[in-house]
Amino acid sequence: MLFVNHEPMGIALVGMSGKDQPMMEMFLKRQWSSQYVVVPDHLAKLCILDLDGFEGKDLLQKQQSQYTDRPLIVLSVRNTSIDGARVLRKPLKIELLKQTIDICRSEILQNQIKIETPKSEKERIVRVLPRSRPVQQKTGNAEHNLIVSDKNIRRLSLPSAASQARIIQSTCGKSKHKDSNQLATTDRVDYYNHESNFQEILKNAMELSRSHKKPVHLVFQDNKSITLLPKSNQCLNAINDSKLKPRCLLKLNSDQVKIVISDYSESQLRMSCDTNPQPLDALLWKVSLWSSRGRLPLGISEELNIGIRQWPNLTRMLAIPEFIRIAALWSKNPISLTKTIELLRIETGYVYAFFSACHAVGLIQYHSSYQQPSKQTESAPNEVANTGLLRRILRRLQSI
Amino acid sequence: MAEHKIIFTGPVGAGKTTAISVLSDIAPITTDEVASDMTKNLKQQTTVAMDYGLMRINGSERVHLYGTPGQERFNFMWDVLTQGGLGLVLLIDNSRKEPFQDLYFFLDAFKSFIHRTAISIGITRMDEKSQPQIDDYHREITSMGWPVLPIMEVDAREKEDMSMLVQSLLYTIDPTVTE
Ligand SMILES: Nc1nc2c(ncn2[C@@H]2O[C@H](COP(=O)(O)OP(=O)(O)O)[C@@H](O)[C@H]2O)c(=O)[nH]1
Ligand SMILES: [Mg+2]
Repeated sequence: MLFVNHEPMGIALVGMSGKDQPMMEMFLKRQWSSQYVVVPDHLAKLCILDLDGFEGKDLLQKQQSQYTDRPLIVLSVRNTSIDGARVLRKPLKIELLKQTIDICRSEILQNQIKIETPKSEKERIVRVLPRSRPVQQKTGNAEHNLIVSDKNIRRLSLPSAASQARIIQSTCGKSKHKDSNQLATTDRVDYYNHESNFQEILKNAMELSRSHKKPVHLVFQDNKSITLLPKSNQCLNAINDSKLKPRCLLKLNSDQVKIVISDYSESQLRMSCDTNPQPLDALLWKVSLWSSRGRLPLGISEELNIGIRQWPNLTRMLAIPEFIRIAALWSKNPISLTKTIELLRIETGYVYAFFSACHAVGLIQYHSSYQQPSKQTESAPNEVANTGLLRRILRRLQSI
Repeated sequence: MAEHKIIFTGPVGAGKTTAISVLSDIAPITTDEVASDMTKNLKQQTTVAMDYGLMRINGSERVHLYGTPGQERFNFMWDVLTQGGLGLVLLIDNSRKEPFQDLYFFLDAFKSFIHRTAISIGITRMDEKSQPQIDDYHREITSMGWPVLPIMEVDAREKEDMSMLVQSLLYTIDPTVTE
C-alpha cells in the first residue's frame, strides 16, 4: 500500500495572491481533509508555486536551488515546461490538480520508505505539527468560529401558519394539509369562467390603456379606483386586498366597474395619489389567483403540453413555495398539467392556480408535440445533490 | 461527513456579503487574507475578502455559503472554489452602469459550473434604479442562448427574498423534491 503515512503532509503555497491562497487551502482541506496541511515553505514536503504572480520567476529559481529533491507543482497561464517541475496550465482543472498532487504524494512516500530511518521521520513530524497549527486554523477558520459563536445563532421567526393557510385558501382553494396519498389526480377538473369576472375587466382595461398609451381608471361603485399606468407598467391601487379579493369571485358588469381613460399624465396621477405604485403584472397575477381559487380557466385542457417562457418574478408576487417547484418544472420541459400533478405529487389546486396566474400574465407557452420528460426532471441532474439533502435545505429555507 | 456548499457571486456591491449574512446561522466571516509572501514586502498590502456563512439544516448537517472574492473573468481558481458546490447564486446590481455586461461576465466566468449544476439570478438595488427591468434580463439571457433561468428582483437585505432565490436554485436542481 502506498499511503502508509497517516500524518498530514506539509504543502507550501508559494507566490499565490491573497485571494487565491484561501481557495487553494479550502480545496486541499475539502479534498483530502486531514491528509495535507499548509505549512511554511521550509517545512513543506511538496510545493505548489504560482509562476504568474509578483516575482514568480525569482521564487521558482529559489525553489530550484534550495529544494532540489522536493516535488514542485508550478501553475502558469503559459504552456511552458520546467525542469524538475510539473506544470499545470491555468485555468486549473480540478481532476488534473488532484491527480498531480496524488502522484507527488506517492513519490514522496516511496522515497521516504527507501531512504528514511523511522527516528528522523518521527522527529520531523513532531517539529512540523505544532508550527503548522495556526496555519491550519486559518483554513478551518470558519468552522472554528462556528463552534465558539453559538450564541450568534439568529432566532428565526417562523411564518405564521394561519396566514400561510389563508393565502393558500384564497389562491389555491384548498387547505395546505391534506393526505398526500389522496392526491387530486382523481378529482374532477374544476373550471372558472374568467371572462365574466374582474380578472377579464382588468385585462381589457390594461389592453385599452396600452393601446391608447394613456392611464386608465377602473372605478368601482363605491368610487374606489385602481389606476393603470401603461408607460411605467405600474398601477395605483386604492383598494386593499381584503376588499379586492371577494370582488374577484363576483360576476361584474360594466355598471359595477367603469373604465375611464384619464386625461392626466402618469406623473400627475402619481403625485396626486397617496398609495405607492405597484407593478401591473403583480396586480393581474394576484387577481387571477383570487379568481382561480385552485380552478382552471374555462377551455384549458389538462392534457396539453405547456411550459413557461420565463420565470415569474416570484419575490414580488403573491406566492407560496409550491409555485417555485412548479415554475422550476415548467421552465425545463413541456409537460401537461396532469403529468405535473403526478410528477410533483402536488395538489391540483396549486397547479391550477399557478397556471391561471401565469396564463393571465402571458407566461404560458403551448407545445403541440408530446415530449418525453427529460431525465433532468425525473432524476436529479446535479452531480452532488441528492433529494434528501435538497429537501432538508428547502425545509430550513422555508422556515425563514 | 460530506460538505455541502452554495456559491454566491456577482460584482462588488451587489449584495453578496449581505445575502450570506441574512441566510447564515452564524455571524458571517470575511476571511481577510493579507496577501502572501510575494507582496509582503510591498508597501501597500492588499486585503482580499472571501465571504463565508453557514446554515445548519439538520443535526450536525451544514450548508456552507461562500462568496467569491474580487472580480476577474478568468480567475484560475474558479474551478477550485466551485468544486462540489450545489449551485450558483448570481447577484447583479441593477444600479451599476452596465448591469448586462456584469451578467455576461459572470455567466461566462462560471459557465461550466452552471452547466454542471444550476443557477438562480437575483437582481438587487432595483429600489434605487428600476431600469433595466426583469423582463429585459430574461430577453438578454435568451438571446445569449441560455435556457429559461430563474431571475428575480431581490433586496439582499431581505431574508425572505434571499430564501426564495435559493429555493428557486434548489428546485431547479430537482423540482420533484417533496416536503
Ligand atoms: N438599496 C439597496 N441596497 C442594497 C440592496 N442589496 C444590498 N444592498 C446594500 O448594498 C451594500 C453592498 O452590499 P454588500 O453585501 O457589501 O455587497 P458585496 O460587495 O457583493 O459583498 C450594502 O450596504 C447592502 O446593505 C438592495 O437591493 N437595495
Ligand atoms: Mg462583500
